[in-house]
Amino acid sequence: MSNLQTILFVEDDADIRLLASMVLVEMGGFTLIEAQNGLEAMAYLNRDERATPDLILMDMMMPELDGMGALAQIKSDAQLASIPVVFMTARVQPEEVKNYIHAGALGVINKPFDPMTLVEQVNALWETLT
Amino acid sequence: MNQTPKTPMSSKLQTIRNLYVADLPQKINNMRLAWHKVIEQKDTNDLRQLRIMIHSLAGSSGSFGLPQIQQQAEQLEALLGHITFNDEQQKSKIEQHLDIMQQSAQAAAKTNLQSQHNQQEHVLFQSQQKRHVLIVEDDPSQGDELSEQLMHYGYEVVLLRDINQLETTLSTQTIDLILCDIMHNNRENAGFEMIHQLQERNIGCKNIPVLFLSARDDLDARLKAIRAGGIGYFPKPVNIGSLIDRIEQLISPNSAQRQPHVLLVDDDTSLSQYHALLLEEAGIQTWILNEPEKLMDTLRVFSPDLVLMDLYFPNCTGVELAGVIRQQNNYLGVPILFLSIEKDISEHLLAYSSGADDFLTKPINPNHFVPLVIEKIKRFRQLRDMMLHDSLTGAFNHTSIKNLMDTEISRSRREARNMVVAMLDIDWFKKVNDTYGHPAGDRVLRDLSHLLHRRLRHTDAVGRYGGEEFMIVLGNTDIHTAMVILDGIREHFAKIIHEESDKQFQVTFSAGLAQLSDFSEGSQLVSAADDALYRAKEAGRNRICLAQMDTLA
Repeated sequence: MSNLQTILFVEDDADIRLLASMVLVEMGGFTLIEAQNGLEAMAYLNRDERATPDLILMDMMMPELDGMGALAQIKSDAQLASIPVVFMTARVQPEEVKNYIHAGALGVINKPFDPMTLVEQVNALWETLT
Repeated sequence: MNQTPKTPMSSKLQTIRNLYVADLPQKINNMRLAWHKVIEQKDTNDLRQLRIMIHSLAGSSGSFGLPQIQQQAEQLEALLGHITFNDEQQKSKIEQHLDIMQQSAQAAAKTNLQSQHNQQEHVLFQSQQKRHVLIVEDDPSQGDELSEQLMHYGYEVVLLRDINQLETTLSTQTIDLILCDIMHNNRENAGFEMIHQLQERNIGCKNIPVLFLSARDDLDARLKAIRAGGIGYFPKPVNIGSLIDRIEQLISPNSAQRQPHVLLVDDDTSLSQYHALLLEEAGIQTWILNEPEKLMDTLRVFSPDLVLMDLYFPNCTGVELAGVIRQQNNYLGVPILFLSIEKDISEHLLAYSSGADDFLTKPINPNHFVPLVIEKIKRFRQLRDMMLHDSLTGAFNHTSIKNLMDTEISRSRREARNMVVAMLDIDWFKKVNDTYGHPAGDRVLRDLSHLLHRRLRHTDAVGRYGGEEFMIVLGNTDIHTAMVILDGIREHFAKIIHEESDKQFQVTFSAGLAQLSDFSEGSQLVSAADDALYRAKEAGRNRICLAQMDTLA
């Protein structure tokens, strides 16, 4: 697996978007594409030409289209299915994690996340792909 | 070239945490409003929205290091999970929970402010001093609606349902302005009576401006309002735009102006000291310059509102010096008064032609001298304001905002600080004009200008760049901070209801941001912000894009 460079970050809360984007860009050195909900994320992924992101980091509970809904659409699209999806979600039970993984998610990062270790957590999940 | 040092990560995190915490009380207030809406309309969709809001709060407060609020939000989310609309006990429990969260949020905001004061360097963003508006209104839905609209403009709102508690409220809280309905508990004049009574007894509201709201719009009611000590009267439904215009006039912090500055240029030390003394007694700040060679430097440092000058100096004349002052655009309008024993009319004419504003003959009469200087300064300031500001919105005009940006760029470089330029444009503005008429478009421009002035720091400059485009210059700020601030303003703006001849509508704006640390020239900064604005428009409007950051195509 090559280096993790571009992340599509999907989150409806503006405060979290700001905090996470700051650490991901500045501490992780990633290129970040932001979307406010699943619909916007899908609109981005379905647009013509441009390169796809290396990884999708996505909130679970969002208006319009939630995390699981978006994941289902991604996995059913041959061109997008290979993009790893990581969920960020709160108070998650072990069975739910299993459900997410079963649906095709790469992993889960717990919310609230610690800004100082978010990059490490993302990198650790990325490493599991190799 | 990057001349501004990068701020370390920890202090950036601290900055956005401060912003987050400062905004918390307002956020929880919004949740309370949403909760009231849920109870009234019993709409499960609204309830779901509220749960998402609280869920997000639990997540964000945790990440921003506020475990107490996180815990409270989680509990509240759980409570809302199984609510039945008719269970009064449950309702009051939720109300209590909101109270507790509000208290925690206020406590956090308070400690936040204190720690900000302790570390001056990290005070990157503190918006204008909060103004407290007390709404006395017994109709819950009208009260909620009015308070929501005022909060979008950045006022702290205290909502009082029971007019009998007015006295207590005024004695326990700082209030800058009162909005009082005239009718309470179906008693026609209850509002007038209460305000009148409190003012008579000299309680609390003596110096607080009172605006009355009323369903009536007849002369009798308006007269009663004046007699009760009201200085404004708004028939219902209240036109929010004109209400905000009035409130801004009454309690705007911008009305606190800089003390008048007078520069005295005279080689006679004792005489200039005497003149200075007369002016200082009238509250004017003075600077005595005995060597005309230092004139240019002094102008720059002191930036006078008026120059008082002798006609003759050992090496040059006052007329020549006036010519030098007028050569520079910045000082074209500064009044110059000459002091001389000269009585020859031709000398006076020469002085006028070189840009003198008036001519005083020594010895001067103190009773005329001081009022004349004050009048000249007043007039100069009015003219300058007219020259610098856009008459419709009160924001700086195109030329002055560009000048202010250049000044801010030089200052930021000198002090090795970052700064941000924002270009902001109202979405579908032409449609507003076409659908609701040009007065409606003007209304929107004014509303946006008020909102920007109220929600930004008073050191930030807001200018009307052209048509429906504004430029904002934010000094000592990085792009992430500016993003949070402007995105908050964007959200508030979208919720503001504009009114024109009985039609109500909502409008959004898009913006692009660029920071000095990424661009070296002013022109690059503007065009980068413009590009970002263009991308924000392309991406669907009602959003903010950052220069040089990848965004949704």
